[in-house]
Amino acid sequence: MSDTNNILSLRGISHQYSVGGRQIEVLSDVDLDVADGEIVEIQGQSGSGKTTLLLAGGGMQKPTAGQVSVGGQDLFRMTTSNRIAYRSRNIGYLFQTLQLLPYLTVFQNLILGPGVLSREAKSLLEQFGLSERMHHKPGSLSHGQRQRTALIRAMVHQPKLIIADEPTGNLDEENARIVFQALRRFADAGNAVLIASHDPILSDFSDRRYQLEEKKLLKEGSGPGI
Amino acid sequence: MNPLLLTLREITHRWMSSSLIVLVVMTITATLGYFSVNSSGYKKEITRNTRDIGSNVVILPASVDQFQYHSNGGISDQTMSENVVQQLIQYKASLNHLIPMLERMGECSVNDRQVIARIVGISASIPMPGRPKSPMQKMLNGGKVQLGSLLAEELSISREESVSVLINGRSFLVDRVNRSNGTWQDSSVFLDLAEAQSLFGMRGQVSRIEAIECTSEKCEEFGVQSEVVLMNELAAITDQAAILRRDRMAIARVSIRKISQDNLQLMQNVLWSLLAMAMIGLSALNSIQRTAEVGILQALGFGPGKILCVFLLRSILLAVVGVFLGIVLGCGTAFVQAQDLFTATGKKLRFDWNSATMISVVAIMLSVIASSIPALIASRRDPASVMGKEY
Repeated sequence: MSDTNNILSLRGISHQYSVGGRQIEVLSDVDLDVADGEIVEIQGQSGSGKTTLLLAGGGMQKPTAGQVSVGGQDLFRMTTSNRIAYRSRNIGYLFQTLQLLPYLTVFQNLILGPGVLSREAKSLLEQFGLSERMHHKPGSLSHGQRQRTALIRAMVHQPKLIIADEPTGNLDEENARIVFQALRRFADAGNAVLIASHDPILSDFSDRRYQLEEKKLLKEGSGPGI
Repeated sequence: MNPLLLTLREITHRWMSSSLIVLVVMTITATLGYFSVNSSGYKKEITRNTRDIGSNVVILPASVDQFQYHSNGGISDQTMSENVVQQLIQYKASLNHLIPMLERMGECSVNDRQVIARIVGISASIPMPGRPKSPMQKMLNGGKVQLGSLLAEELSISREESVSVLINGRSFLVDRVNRSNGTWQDSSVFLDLAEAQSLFGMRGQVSRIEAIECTSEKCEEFGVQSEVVLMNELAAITDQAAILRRDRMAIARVSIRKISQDNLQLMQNVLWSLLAMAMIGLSALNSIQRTAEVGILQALGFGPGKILCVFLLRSILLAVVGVFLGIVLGCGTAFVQAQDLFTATGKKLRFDWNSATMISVVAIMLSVIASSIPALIASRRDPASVMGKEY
């Protein structure tokens, strides 16, 4: 795959954590590209470094070594304020714990970030069948509805890349399919998705799957149904 | 989203912790406001009470033999020029409430009863320019006298009676019979200084000037004696007069004022420290509660400055509400209480807007500064923390 199509490019990523004075390495010299139109799935045991890889890929945590580029821009060569601004325009995040602000309505949660258009938010609410709940607070929604709200928030500012960490961890199959279908449509529109998940349904929607083992990424397969 | 709107929503959502901050700020500000009004009331009341104890400085003619003066019960025949008063004023001597007097023993009679009593010509107290004070002694009405209670009893004059008394052969209407105060004043008669000077044919003469020293606190601070300061001042003004200082009264006056002021100052410092510590603690608690929220705000494009702004806005809004309620509650309660607490000056107590404003501004600033430390830490938190602790 040519470099020009890559939305996310990770080169030589290594990361160490300091725990009780000891250095624990969780990633070692990892390379990964995610091109436009692609959903790349990362699997691995708990503590294998999936979240660290996603944090680095999303520009949230600087790796100990390596280079992270999104849309051709090296995120950790930017100043902090530039990185925050660049992230907010180009990357969407979807967390297992959703992280919706409980004191804002669904709609207010969606327009929280800078530069978000109300029109776009309303259109996505319509698409995801949440129009009638837009003035409700997250506490009054079902888990599936909250997950859809978080998904809309990840894509409402029309980013190039979505980073998702176990986005369907607590969902039933029907709701999990809704989330993955939406991510598939997002990728098919010329964007990229990097996703860490143990959900077996994901293989129906992802393009490539990697296993994170012994600090390295091992390719398991590609293509529909992997 | 507008940070103000975001903050308002968060405040109403976490109403318990928000109310706790308002309650803490309100309680401490109310106590400060209460002490501020009380301190002002105390100061006035102590000043009035220590003033009412009487003058602690007496300026006598230099020719007075002080042994004889005291042996005769604090009276002498010697006089000095009334100009000494003007000279003291021009020099701005360290004295307040100057009361020139002319005293003589004389005959008082009503009908067939007559006694020899102390006759005191007394002027209204004269303030020093630039040191405005409420008068310690008011001017006596012309043609009228005030009688000490024992003297009135001796002359068989009752309190309500309207009667004239002959003093050295001149008739005066009794204006009032004074209440007993247990001093020589109970057996004296008081009339206007100018009338007394005319009565005794001693125009422009006084036999003593009573006053209250205003050097004591400074002297205490610089370690010099008030008496020395006053003697030097008087020596620079005139050689006609000598100074007599009632030491115990002067020392008690300084001491009581200093102790009350020091105590109030200490209390204020303790309260300010409490406010700062409470705000640091409560703000830190709020920032810990909002760890994940800070992460998501960062992920959504809120920079450290905007996050700091969100936290500080919260502190400002809650501090303003707490301070407003505290000032109203504390100052209001103290103000109402002061009417009964300060019997001499309570009714004259005015609301001190300057102190209330000062407390409000300092309390808000202190609250915001104290909460800015946890806010700063929150705004600089690693955004990765939002994604959980798992590797």
